[in-house]
Amino acid sequence: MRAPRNIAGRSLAGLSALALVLGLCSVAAAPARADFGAIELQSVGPLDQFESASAPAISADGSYLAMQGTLDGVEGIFRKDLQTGQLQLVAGGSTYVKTPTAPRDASAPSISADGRYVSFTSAVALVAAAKPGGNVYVRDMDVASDGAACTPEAETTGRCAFELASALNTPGASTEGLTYSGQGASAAGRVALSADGREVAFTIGSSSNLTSEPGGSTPGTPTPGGQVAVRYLDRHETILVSAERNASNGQMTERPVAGGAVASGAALSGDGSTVAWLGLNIPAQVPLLSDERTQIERDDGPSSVDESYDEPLWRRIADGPLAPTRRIVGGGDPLAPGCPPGGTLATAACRGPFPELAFEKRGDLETHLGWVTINTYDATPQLSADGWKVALLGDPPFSTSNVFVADMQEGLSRSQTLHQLTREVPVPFKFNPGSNSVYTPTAGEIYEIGISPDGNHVAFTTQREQFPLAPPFFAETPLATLGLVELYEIDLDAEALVRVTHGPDGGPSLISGSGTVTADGAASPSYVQNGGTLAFADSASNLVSGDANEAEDVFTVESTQVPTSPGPVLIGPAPGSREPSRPQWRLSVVPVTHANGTVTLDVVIPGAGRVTATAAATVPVVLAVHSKRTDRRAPRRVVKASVRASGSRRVARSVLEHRTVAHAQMSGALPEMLELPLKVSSPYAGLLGTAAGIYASVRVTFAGAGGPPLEQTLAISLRRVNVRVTAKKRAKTKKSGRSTVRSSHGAKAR
Amino acid sequence: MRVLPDLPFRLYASCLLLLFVLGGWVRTAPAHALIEAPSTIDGPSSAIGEFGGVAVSADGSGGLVYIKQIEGVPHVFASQYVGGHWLAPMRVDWDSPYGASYPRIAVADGGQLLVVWVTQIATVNNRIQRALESSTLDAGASSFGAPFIVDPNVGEGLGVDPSLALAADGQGLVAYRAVTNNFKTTNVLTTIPQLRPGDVLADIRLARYEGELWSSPEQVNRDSLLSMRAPSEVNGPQVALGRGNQAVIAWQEPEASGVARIWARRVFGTTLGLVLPASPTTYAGKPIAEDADAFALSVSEFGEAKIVSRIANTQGARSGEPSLFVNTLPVSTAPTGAKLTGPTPLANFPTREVGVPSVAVDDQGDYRIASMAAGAAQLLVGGEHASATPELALGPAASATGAGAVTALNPEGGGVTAWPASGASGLLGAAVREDFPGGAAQVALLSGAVDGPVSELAVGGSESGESLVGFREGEPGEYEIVGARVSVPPPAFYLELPVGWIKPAKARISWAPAEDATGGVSYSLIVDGRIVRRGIHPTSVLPDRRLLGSGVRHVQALATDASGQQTLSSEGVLKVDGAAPVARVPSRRGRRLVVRVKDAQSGAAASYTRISFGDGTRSRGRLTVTHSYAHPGRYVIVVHMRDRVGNEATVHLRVNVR
Repeated sequence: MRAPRNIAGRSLAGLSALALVLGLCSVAAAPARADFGAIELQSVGPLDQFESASAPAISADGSYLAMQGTLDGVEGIFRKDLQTGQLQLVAGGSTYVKTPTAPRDASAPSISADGRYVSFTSAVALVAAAKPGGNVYVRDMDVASDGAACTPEAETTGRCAFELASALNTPGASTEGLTYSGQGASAAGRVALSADGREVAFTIGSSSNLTSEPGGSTPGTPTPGGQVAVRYLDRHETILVSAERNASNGQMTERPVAGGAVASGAALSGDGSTVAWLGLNIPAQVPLLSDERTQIERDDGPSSVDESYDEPLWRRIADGPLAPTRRIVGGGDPLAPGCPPGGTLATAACRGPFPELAFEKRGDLETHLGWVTINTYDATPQLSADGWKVALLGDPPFSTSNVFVADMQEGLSRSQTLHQLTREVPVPFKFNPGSNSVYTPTAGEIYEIGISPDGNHVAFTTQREQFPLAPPFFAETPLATLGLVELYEIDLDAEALVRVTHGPDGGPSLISGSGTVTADGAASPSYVQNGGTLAFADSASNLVSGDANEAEDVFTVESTQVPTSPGPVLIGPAPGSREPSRPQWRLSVVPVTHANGTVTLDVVIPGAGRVTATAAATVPVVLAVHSKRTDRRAPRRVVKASVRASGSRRVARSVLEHRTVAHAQMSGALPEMLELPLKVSSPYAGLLGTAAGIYASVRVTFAGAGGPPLEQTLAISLRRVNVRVTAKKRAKTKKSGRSTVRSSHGAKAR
Repeated sequence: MRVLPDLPFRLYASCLLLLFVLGGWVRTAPAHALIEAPSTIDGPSSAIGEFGGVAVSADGSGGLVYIKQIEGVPHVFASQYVGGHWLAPMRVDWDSPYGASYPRIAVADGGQLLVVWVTQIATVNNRIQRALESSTLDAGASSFGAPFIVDPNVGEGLGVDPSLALAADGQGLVAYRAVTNNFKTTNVLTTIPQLRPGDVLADIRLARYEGELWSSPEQVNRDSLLSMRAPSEVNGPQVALGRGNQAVIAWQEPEASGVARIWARRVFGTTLGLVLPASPTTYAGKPIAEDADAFALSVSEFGEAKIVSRIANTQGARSGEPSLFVNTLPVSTAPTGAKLTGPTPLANFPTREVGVPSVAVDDQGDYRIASMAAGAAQLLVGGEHASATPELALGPAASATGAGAVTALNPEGGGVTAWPASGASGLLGAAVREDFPGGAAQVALLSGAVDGPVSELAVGGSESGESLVGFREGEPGEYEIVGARVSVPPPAFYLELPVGWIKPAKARISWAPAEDATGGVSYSLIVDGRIVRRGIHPTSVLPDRRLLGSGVRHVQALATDASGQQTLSSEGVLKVDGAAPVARVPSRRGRRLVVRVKDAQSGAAASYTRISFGDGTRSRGRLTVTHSYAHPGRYVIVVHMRDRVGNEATVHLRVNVR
């Protein structure tokens, strides 16, 4: 899991290329949007308020709420019956009497639709089959438990309340836990468990034996870290989700992708059909455009995992092991209708929603490349119950983190199905914007999202107060003063955006007694099936009266239908970019000569096409003349003098001739600079070592579809420079294994 | 649906009109919010009263002012716009228990706000006497300062209608009307005749703000012995300021015949100029007997004034005849600067249902005139440097909202026009159209939290083209105050390129900064129509020699501000010579040959040329040399050469002499 970072900033320069168009050309009467009633404090027991509570997950039927917290000296995960108020410990133990079998570290709960099952992550071995390291468990709340590990007797008699989800694929056999080399497995909060509670999605950060056991897809070879897997509890089966794609035939394999996922958890749809995660090593998992692949592989190459290119990925596991992993966003979209085989980003039909995604240069404050470049927010994609709708956070080029929703139904391009739901008001970049009263209300980060199982509601948390994108229409008055991170909801049907958390008189959420506004506040939004109830955690102390613990708590709020029309803001398209749409049709060539006598031509081409370079020079060649001209044939020119072993004797004579000494060609797909290497062909290479070298005339031609052929001629003086390797250098070279030369670089560039 | 930025202006306007009429408002998310989403400053609330206007300075800071009741007493509130954000409204008349009216606002650079209003000051002869007061919010201050009295006696405070102008340096003027007799108060006797029913006796007064204090007001109208038309929102005096405190004041006042005309006079520092008639007295050879009942005034930075007068069409007496006339007062330094050029009818404007005009003029002499007419917002763009555009119907107005069309001008070209409008499905709000310097336009229908009729609307423009739109929206008793920013791209800027041929290492390209109010401007360098470098923050760059190559390059810079708005510089020519001269042996006959040194760009420098023919013979200082070898053989000619920018090379030419 990526460590959160303190610096929350984004470079906001260069906005010209990004133009999101939500092309709805008529104004329909706005449907009634959901408004919210009173906020209720839920992290409260029969006698006392929780010391603190967080990470709520509400069951889809709205009957139960799971949350992490501490109550009356007991720490762990609790489940609350929202009808009766009864609290049950799911997993945990006393903070005073610390026992090794009590999973007080249990975190990231998810809950089944009826509230019976709760999944979580803990490093405490709760069943005998669990191996050391983080493991994912599912608690059956119908089985009594004190929240601590199952006793051997309970396991043998079937009265163990915990099931191990991070387990080997052992269909029909007993459960056997995964063995890890490091941190182990973890499940995402709120979204790891299917609605029936019998399927769990989890990620494994370190290498493991997930696929290496006999019968696995890589027997004998440890499974590399960064994997996504799904456990079918009833069948004792575990399937690998982050599987490698065979690049040659496009088929999915069962081989694990090295570092295929950010190990912060994966989302599983309520029906268990679909998994979404923040992927790494993208070229191994999904089809890419060739130029995009080259760039991503270049970025991924020498970097550590934390610096690799990332993108959210989606896979419909219900369709079987051949179901492809698909991109949700992306710079290119090779699967888009109309994208020809071999298409590149230069092909309009192949462009994805963010063509510059792979090419964006990382700013000073960003730690990653791709869809998520900063670590201030939870980037795990969230799925609707049927898995087809994905809500996600990302900071594509030229923006800060924003909310998007994508429909993954096939037949449409990514650009057609991805909709941006929020946009910041661009303000000049400020260092440490979290403390900036101008930046934060207008362009502050969005930290977490949640989507309702029916896919019609998206909740998110932010300190931002301005939402210029419409629709969805921001139907609230922006706060006059900055508060904590607030919870907002977008009603996708009504195209309305409302603020859910309110302090007294509609003011901001605040922590009582705190003189400074921090980035604390709302977190972990979780919905019931129809979005009618929203659970969330919040450190604000002015949301409800009687919130006395001055710590994070868990709340719920119910929506009510209010027939108010949102404030309409209809803003037409801005003028197009002033950037030139196409370069002038001309060729530019700069030669760069090298000490070994070769030359690289830096050729700037105006569009897609082919560059050809031919170097010609006057060079000495050897003329072979037969001493007895009985056949009166013309003298035959050869490059090297030779004497035949048999037959007529020949006399070699050197003459000067104008010859082609080098030739090279290269294709370009875009207006770009090509580096075309030009090497003197072998018959003439020996001349490079002479004092005169070769004085060549290079003719560079370019042929492309966008205009007439172009030509440029330049003169180059080529000469190989003597290389002197000192003893010291030689020793250093030997030690480092690299070849280093000292040259006077005598080859003259022209 | 991204369309039309390059279409001709009229065609584009027609398309917009069609969108408006057919309800085809494009609900898109613009790449860059040039017309930004509005903010509800206050309300909806039954306490919201009069909207007093909006102002913006060249640096983008500004504010708006309005009346809001506190415990039933109307008070003045202002919201400051700083750093792209509307700040929480603050009470301006914080130390006054009395009711306030007629708030007006102006802004100086840095965000200093100046607000004036009318409030109760004393009770004289059992009648409440009201004063014109002011207060300032200094840049960075958290509250308005103590109020100053501008004029301690504006009578009963009715029809004051102040007009406030503030220069960037904080010097300002306020023009207002003080009704001295309304012919209803029996205890104030006068022998002056009431020319028309409802007329009042009033002074048009002017006071100067010296950055801290106000001068004593002085009367500027022609004849205090003539009764004035009954005060209304549209016939109050107006004042506008140019650079160097060159100001013009205009007002309505009857002439001796009793017909109200519009008059104007310059204000030179502390001196008043001559009174000049601004509205027409005749049309088509016939005297105009109807009042000039409304007008608009704008002054450019250099002091050129445009005054647009509306002639009332009382009982249809002037049906079919133009209602709007524009008159120009040239810059004061011009030979004709002392006189108005004369009223010119806006002949093609619709002649029915003509609303209150609005005008804006810049120091290039370009102007924009907007008005409602024939149920739609109309716009006329013209001037000495702008290509004159026929009157243009922008879009239908919301019926009977009480507000007119208002416009502001961007000195770089284009401007902002706003008018009350209704969207396709009956949504009410303020329509805003921004015309960009390049000819494109963006339109929006803005509304606060709850859409409703726009009853008071204002646009504040600045020298930099930045504008703020403010309006009061909603049904009576449920008004809200709404503000929105309309930003402009960075201003035009120019490249500075080396003259003549230069080496790539010296091809430094510079440009003047193009900072706008949005800020955060970065630059991209374009060579031969291709962006070769982005994200440049300095105002000069030395491009990679590989991208320049050798030859004549066409160079531009593209300025992009933090909100993504872009301005492209003019194109410059950069002559780059990155190659040394070329040596050739173009002709050879027998043992005689010619060696020639050429440079296709800057030219070869003969004085640096040295040729060694390989037979012991040398040449120096000549670009073309003929040489005869004494003996056949193979020779290597060594040529050392240099061009005029310093590229040099030594090459070896192999020749075979027979």
